[in-house]
Amino acid sequence: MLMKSTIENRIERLSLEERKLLFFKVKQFLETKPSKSVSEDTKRLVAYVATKDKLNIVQLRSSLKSKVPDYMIPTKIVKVERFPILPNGKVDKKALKHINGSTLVQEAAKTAGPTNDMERELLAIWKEVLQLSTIGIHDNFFDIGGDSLLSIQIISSARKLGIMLSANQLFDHQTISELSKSVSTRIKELKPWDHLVEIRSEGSKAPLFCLHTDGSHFFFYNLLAKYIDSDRPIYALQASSVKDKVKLHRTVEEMASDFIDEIKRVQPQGPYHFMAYCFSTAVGLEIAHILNKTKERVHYLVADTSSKSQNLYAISRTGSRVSGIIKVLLKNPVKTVKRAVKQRINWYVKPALLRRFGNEDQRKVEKLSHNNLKIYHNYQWKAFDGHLSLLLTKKPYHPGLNEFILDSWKKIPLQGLNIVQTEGQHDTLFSEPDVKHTAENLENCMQEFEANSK
Amino acid sequence: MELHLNNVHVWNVDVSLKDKRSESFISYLSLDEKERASKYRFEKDRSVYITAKFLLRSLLGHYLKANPKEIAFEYSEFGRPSCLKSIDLDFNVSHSGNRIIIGFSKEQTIGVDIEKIKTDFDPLNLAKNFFSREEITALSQTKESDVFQAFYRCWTRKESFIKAVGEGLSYPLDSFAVTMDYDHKAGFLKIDNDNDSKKDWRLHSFIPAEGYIAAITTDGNPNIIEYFDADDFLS
Repeated sequence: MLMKSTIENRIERLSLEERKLLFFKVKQFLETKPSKSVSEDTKRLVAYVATKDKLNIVQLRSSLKSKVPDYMIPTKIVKVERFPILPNGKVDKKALKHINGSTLVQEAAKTAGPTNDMERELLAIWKEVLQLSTIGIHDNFFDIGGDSLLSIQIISSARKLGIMLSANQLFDHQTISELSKSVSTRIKELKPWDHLVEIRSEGSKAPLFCLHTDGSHFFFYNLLAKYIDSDRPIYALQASSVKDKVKLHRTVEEMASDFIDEIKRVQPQGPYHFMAYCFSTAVGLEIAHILNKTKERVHYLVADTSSKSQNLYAISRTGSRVSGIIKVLLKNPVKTVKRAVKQRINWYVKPALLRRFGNEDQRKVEKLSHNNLKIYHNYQWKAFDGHLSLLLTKKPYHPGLNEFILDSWKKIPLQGLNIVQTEGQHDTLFSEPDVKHTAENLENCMQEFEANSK
Repeated sequence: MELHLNNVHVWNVDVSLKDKRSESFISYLSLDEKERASKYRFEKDRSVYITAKFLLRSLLGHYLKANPKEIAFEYSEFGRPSCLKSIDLDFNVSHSGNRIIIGFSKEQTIGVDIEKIKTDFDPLNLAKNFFSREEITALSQTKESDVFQAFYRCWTRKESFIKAVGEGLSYPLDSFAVTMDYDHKAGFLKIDNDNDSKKDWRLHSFIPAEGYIAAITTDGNPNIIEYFDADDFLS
């Protein structure tokens, strides 16, 4: 009963041309089928339209699509000048059948073409994988011959171009149009990132996210791209850009949450590799926590830095006696490290910043660094359910230092702690020539994690 | 053919010969199956779909002694079908190219996959993106002349497993590994997931026809796997 009135409603909404078409179809159907098999509509539906005017088959078909159920849509629409008539006045159906009209409507309705770059790229991938010359952006992947094996081929090809797709994404968005909307594109094309900085977006391996908390990340991570596996994307995350207004997070949790939002846009599923160095260890730990909640696989890499806010290396540039420093630190960590931060900025970062950005940005970097210290002081260090790889230098500034660092991390990663000795000293880990070894070690840790992780 | 406990029946059919007959099969399908059939762009995909549904209904009708037209299916959140009428009969369908296979088992969960072998892609690249480390290593060490065969052995076995588990590609492909060195010897090297590793998953592979390869995963070791040609059943 419900069905009947729905059809009646639909018929009422058709235009005169469409009604004529429908009427003819029903007439033809009833005349060719014995009544008992009315429910077995096994033949293809062909519609003949007699009109002297121009007939836009594509438009007719799409307009019908919104008005009648799918199985009422003719698969073929043929335009004729007039219907051939038999002597008794009836339509000569035999003669009609011989008139070969347009191609299959499905091909004629061809293709909603791509409307943006992402759709264009996805379309090219689909065409290649499915081996079809015409695909519309609203065509359903599985309706045009897609299957599981082809879907992973699509994902692989997309990843090669820097488009991060997951299997679930393709299953939840089965047309190019829907898929393109759900995809996080290569960084350049999206709205500006607040925190994520692309060092290299191409590659099919799980990306390495380098955490940084002020605007000086450029000096640390760019060279990694030269030596990390070229098939692995690399991103940096900064608490705030120094180009615009500086954003000061109120807590480490807030910073971590912002970082994760952007990480997930480039990488929706684990395993996740992220690296902390110097002052980003707390935000790194918090990120591990947040990812734990969604049961993602987490690999935290730490480059020669202890947990908790005592960071000894800020002072280490001059190679000063560290044991004395340790005593001071334990007495008044925040003050000591604050001073150290200022020193670090003065020695190392300032000249480089001046070269690149000028005084204004130096101040911003300092502001960010100090804010970072403040929020670190309030952070609760806790264990996380994942794996930690710790890089320690072969030449620590003080013999007891590596043990101190190791000790500070021991209880934190519940899935295991992996220690790797690397070349160079704390401050030279990311510059030539030591960066080559740092990168190799990082890459080995990541590959090992990918191989062994649960 | 009755299906006894711990036996597996695998039905095979080549659809190309049935082209004309698929039109009569459609009357067995439910309304939503008919609607889904109408959405296929290419006649051959539509034809395979209709024939697979018809065959599934007919066979279920046979095993459950029920009317094929009256069989109701329900689908899990991942799209895995099961039959409301039967609790202890499990089944799984797969098709590729012109061939359909349907596996049935009593009391053991079953997953099947068939693939027509193509050589127009880079199998090692796919493996690197999705497979486990053991499988990537094994495939990289395979002779070039054997690499497609090895890839497909691996793929069909993995696919049959994730279909048996019922999660499709949501299941991480790199968290379990299968062997791929022989056509007829198949097994798991590891299954990371705690829940799944506790079960006794078994793999079998077979060659349905030239240019095709297939695999079956069952939860438990079947006593016997019998292969039938559904051609006769369809006439």
